[in-house]
Amino acid sequence: MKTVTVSREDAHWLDELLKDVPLTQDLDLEALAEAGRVLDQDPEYVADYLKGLFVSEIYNAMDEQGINANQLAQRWGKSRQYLSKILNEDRRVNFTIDTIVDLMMQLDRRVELHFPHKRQHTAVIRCVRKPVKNVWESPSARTCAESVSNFNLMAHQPAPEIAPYEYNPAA
Amino acid sequence: MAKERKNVNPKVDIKIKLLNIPGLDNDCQSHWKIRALEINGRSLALAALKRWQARHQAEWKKIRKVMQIHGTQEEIKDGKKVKKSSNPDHGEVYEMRADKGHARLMFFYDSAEDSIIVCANSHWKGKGSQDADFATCKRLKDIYFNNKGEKP
Repeated sequence: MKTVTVSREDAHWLDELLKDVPLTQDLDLEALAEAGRVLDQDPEYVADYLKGLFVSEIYNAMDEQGINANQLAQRWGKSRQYLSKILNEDRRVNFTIDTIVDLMMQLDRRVELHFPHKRQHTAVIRCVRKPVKNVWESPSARTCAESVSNFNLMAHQPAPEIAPYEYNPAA
Repeated sequence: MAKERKNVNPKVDIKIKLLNIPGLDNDCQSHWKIRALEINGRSLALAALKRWQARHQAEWKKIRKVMQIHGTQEEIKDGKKVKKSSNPDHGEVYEMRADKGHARLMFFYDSAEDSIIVCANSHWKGKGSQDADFATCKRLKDIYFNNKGEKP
């Protein structure tokens, strides 16, 4: 938590804005957390999320290549209507793995499937470019060393217990 | 005659926090950490998420799906999921959208120290002005960044 200073005008505006908002400690956040955990075990929701992820990747790849949906449909040899149904996440269209691979290959993307155990979690090593003598340097073993070392330390710790949600404000 | 004393300190202290979103695990936050902005113990974004989860399940699921997708992707080019305010006065403020639905979660990026998506407030399509809610997000963003000593 940070205490910060704002003008009286901003403080007054914030008072007005937040006057009807309940205190965070009075919100039933455990119910929100539990509802999230339930959704993550719901095959229909997870499939819907993965479809959304796939469609988002298509949009990102189209943007990267500077092409629009018409051009992609033409390149793929399918109708614009069929592609639209995919892009609109139309429930009547079920993607097969063949469709996903075929379409992503049109966009120069590889497709990989991962099936981690549900108790397996992702650890991210952030390798951020740092300026060295006013020159930007690509991520290298040296710039990543600290993250890698932290990861190795963490990897040797016992797996964390999965605990129910607790009100725990981020730093 | 005693002079009327002027207020010499026209500033006020407030408390700002970034809160985890309950039920959103770290696996879907590999690119962006998704946080809710809390000011003086109250969070417009968390209150909206809680309200939607309790009363508008379908809308909450759609917003949660977009949060999960954006947490793993640097940019979202699909305008049905994430859209920037079209008002140039608002600058870089965005909304996560419940596709074909009403719920909108306004946010901005904080990539200076860490990669954070700061969810600031919400909008319900058909109720109130979307432009005004983007303006609210913009003002919250200004308060957030001005106090970090950075340009908004």
